[in-house]
Amino acid sequence: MNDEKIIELYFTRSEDAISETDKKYGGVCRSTAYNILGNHEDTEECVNDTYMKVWNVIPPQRPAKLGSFVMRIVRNLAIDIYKKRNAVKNRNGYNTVSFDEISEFLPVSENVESIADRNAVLKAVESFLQTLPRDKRIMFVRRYFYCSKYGDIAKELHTTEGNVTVTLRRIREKLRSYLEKEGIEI
Amino acid sequence: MRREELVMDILGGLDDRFIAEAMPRTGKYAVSDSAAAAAPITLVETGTEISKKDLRIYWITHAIGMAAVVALIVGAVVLLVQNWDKIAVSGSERPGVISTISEPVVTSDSTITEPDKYDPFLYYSDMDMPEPFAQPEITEFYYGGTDGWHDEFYNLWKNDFYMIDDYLQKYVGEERAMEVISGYKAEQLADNQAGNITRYRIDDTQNWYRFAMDTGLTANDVRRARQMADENWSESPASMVQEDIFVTFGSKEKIAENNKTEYCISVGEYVFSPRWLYYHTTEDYKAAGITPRMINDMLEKYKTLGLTDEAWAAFSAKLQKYADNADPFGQITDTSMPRPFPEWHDTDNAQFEFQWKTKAVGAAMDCRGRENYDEWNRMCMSIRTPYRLDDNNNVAGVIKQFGITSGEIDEYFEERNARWRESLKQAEESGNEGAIMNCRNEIFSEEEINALKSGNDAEIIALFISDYSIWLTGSNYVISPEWLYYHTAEDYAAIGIEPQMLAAKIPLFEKTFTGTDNGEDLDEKSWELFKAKLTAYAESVKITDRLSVKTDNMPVPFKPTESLWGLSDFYLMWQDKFGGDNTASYIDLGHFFPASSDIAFDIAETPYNIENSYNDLRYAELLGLSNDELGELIRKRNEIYSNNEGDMTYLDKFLYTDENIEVLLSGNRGLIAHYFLSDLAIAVGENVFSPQWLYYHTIDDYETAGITPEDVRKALPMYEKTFAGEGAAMYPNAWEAFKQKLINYAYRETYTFSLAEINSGFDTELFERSFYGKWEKDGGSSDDNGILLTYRDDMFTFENWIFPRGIAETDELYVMPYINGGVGECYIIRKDAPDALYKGWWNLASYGVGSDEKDIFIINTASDKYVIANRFENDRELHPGDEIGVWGLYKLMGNSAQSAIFSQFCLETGFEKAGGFNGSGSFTDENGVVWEIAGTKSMPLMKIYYIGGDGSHDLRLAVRYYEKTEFDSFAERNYTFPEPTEHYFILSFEKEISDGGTVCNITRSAYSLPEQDSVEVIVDDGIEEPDPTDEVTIIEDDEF
Repeated sequence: MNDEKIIELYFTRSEDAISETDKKYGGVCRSTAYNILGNHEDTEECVNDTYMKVWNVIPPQRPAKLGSFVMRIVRNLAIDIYKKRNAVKNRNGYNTVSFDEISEFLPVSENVESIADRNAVLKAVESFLQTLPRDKRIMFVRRYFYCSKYGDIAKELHTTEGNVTVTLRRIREKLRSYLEKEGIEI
Repeated sequence: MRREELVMDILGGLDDRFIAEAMPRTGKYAVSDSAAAAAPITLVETGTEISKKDLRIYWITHAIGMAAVVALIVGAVVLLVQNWDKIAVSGSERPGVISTISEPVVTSDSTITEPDKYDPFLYYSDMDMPEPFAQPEITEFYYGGTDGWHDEFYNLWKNDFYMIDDYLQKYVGEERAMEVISGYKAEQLADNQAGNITRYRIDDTQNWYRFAMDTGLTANDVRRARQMADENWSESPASMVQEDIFVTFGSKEKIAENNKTEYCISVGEYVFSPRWLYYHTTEDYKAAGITPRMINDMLEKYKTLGLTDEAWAAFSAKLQKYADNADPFGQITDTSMPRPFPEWHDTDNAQFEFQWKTKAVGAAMDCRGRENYDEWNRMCMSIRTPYRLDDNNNVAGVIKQFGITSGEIDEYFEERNARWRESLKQAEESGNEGAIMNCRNEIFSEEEINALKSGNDAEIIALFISDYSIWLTGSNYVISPEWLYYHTAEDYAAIGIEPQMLAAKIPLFEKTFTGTDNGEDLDEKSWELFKAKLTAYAESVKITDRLSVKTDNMPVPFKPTESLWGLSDFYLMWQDKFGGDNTASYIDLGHFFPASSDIAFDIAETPYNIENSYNDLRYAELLGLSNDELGELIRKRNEIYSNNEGDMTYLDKFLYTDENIEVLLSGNRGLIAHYFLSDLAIAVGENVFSPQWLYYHTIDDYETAGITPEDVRKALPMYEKTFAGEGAAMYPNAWEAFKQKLINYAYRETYTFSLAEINSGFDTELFERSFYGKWEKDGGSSDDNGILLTYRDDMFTFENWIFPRGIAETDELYVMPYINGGVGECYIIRKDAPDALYKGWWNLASYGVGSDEKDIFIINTASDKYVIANRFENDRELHPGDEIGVWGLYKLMGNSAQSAIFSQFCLETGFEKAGGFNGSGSFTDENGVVWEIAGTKSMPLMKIYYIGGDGSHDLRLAVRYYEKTEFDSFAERNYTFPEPTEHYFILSFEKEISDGGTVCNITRSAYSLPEQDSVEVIVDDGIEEPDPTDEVTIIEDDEF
């Protein structure tokens, strides 16, 4: 079923809306949540909370892209659950993505608490992504939005895990340079 | 909050388009619109399976309410039912091949519609490549041109093909033309923006051919447009007419191949630019069907791409590494061949394309889901003519490639055979002969299945090779007609196809691919060209090139001090009069060789002919003498020699007779070569082979050269006389090695024939390779002198005291118990009826030589029933005289799982229980062997070997046979041979049958080693009579 029809189900308050959403996006929702949480129980909670939230916000909202909309919710909820489950001192990274890896594309900054403008950071990252070839862009988003494993990315893009690893490392380096060049501080 | 967490939070706000773009499209977590999503979801990490039902129950309790459960479950069930057929069928479909690749289409609202099938080559795969050019790489370009900016790197098409001629645009109407062309540009722009680097087809990019098709132009339209252009616009249209281009190239595949730039590679309909190659890995090359040879062909050309040093170093290293695996035969080399079948013929022709029997292709298992299956399958299908077992999609290739286990093979074929047997049953019920045949052909036998499980290439190929293919056993290449069609004769030679192999196939091809009117015929022109190519190769005599290289590592043949000229016997190939160094005589007669006519004698190990050796004909050619002038010169020389007052004994050999001159001037080079051949050389056609050539080449080369065993047999005595013995220059060890090689070849035919006969006749392990070996002296002391027939006792076990006793060059193999005495019984197994055992007896007390168990012989009865017997050691009860009974099975497996011959007791028990002679009973013993008597039966005449000897120190081999006399009795004849320690020989007896069906004549012949007195006797055919001086004793035995 296409997204428009699913959204229509939400608008008509049909219970089928959730089953259709799950049918279409359930797999990727669960994998993303699991990639962050590393726990099936939490994953299920997260996914169901996501559906609940979608159910509650549509209507009145009518997302242009239901998939992205759902994914953003599930990802954010997963990260919230992650934070709740883990004390600050124990947090070294998500199930599949370590903080060390993330820190590789962060600009060198003396002031770790400084962040001028979240929106500016986002725009800078999006601008950077625009400069990438499509396949590299997909790799980045798959890794740092969907928190996908290297192997899964490689399989889908028909390349090797090694290639994904190397490519992402280069992208991280480039992104850090780009952000520094743009004067972004995080 | 850590910075890392913060940035991850921020990334959660990425624009929808990034999230949508990266959403998984394949794999287990892919976004799915299909009904397949109704299948249980598996979380692979833990193996936990969560069904839809579970989820729905969860939601009920947490969010929505019980009513939804029913609706959702019902919905899921309905979906499942609605799609059940698809789900059930999908598993049995033949492996799919991506034949159409759809690119993502960027629509106006920037949403991306994903292709039905994922293009595996869309993105970069080689991330390690540096920037190709010093300048930034352009990101927007057209596939037909980049305005001169590294065109070779980017372009797909030749300019004439890419550009849409103005006259065509005008013909279509400029508005319509612009609309279509704008669409092409938009596609290209979207492609550029997406950063795609993929392969393209004619239908994926701008080109005039696509334009014509998209605007519905017919061939006539194009023709008219061109005509109008000629008349009105004073332009010079370059494009071919749509119809013409199809006629010329036959298919889009060919059109693409002929219109891509010289820097691009085409595989099927797809064209790959250097840019694609640059940014993709060699794994992708392979998966895309790009062969190492294709890359190899580009290496030199790509040097001019203008890449930076760093880029070229990386690119060339990648290309070279791939090209190093170049398979020289995997690509079409004969591009002059047209499309083989008529244009309307769009179906595969299995006989033409496949190397294998169709069932071996049809049964290629579906291994979808196994790692790399898709890539492998794509590669198999993209190679036009794969030619080795592992190279293409046949059942054995799949098994090997994906490690299918024996158990899986059994399971697969059990199911498959059951299916085809069911189809066969239906076909038989309908009486459809064609269908019956097809079904039978699809059922795999136990032998075939076992071969597949064995993994033995040779065994598998032997069973599954198509009748139309050629198997090169050395390399296990299997060559299809299609490969032959698309490759040059040079490739034929390079891959190792012998001309005679093709000669054997031409009639079959002609019968199959022409004049059948069943839609499978090659196009008339195609066949004409194909046949001409095959025939030319089959008749080629260029084997001399391959035979000019020394192939046998022989010992030094002569003493080093021997001068070259002293060895003339070794290398000369002509009689002295024709091939001597007669240059002086030409000079004497006023003829001077031009400086350019270097005819220095070459003693390379090469086949000689008139052109590459000294001889009068060659001299004449070098001097430009006419036939008459040469005749005149020879006559003058004769006259001079004849008038010489010196030693005419020496000069005689230079004199030509009138007949000699007539042959010399005949112009028939084959005749001349044979006529003036030296005693020691062998001529095949116009080629002449000296002893030196024979010395330094293998017997395989002899065969390739066309030298027959008969040729060598005839030459052997002269060789021995010349190169062996006192005064001969050749070292003894060299001569021994040479002699052995010559003998091996001279008698190979008979020897191998003998072995082949034995082995081919016996398709059971009972007989297989059991009896060949050698007759050898074992130092025995009895009057039989201990000649021993060796056999492979490691292969089967004999029970009791039944022993194999020899090989008859007839349809029989005989075995018998060892019994010393006057009357014997015997058991015979016929090669042509290996499941029958014959039994007979004969009183032979007065026959035979010696009384040892090794003495055996064969006789026949006066009533034309032939039995085999041996001597009995003890008196035993006699069975009826000349009756022969036939029994059932003859073999069973012994305890050690080897074949065993029944014991005498077993035989007799079975015999009696079956009712004895003339009995009609039948019984099955504990081994499952059915015993029954088939009544009397005549046996064929025999050709036998008989071993025996007389005198413990003068061992002789005797060949005894019996010949029917004119008085309808039989005479015994012995051929005897002096002792060798190892001796191969053959006797051949042929019978002639009169009109009345009786034997009216026996022709016999025997071959022995050349150093022995050869016995070659052919009786009653008027060709040759036995030489009375031969060591042949003829014993008339009236008693017999």
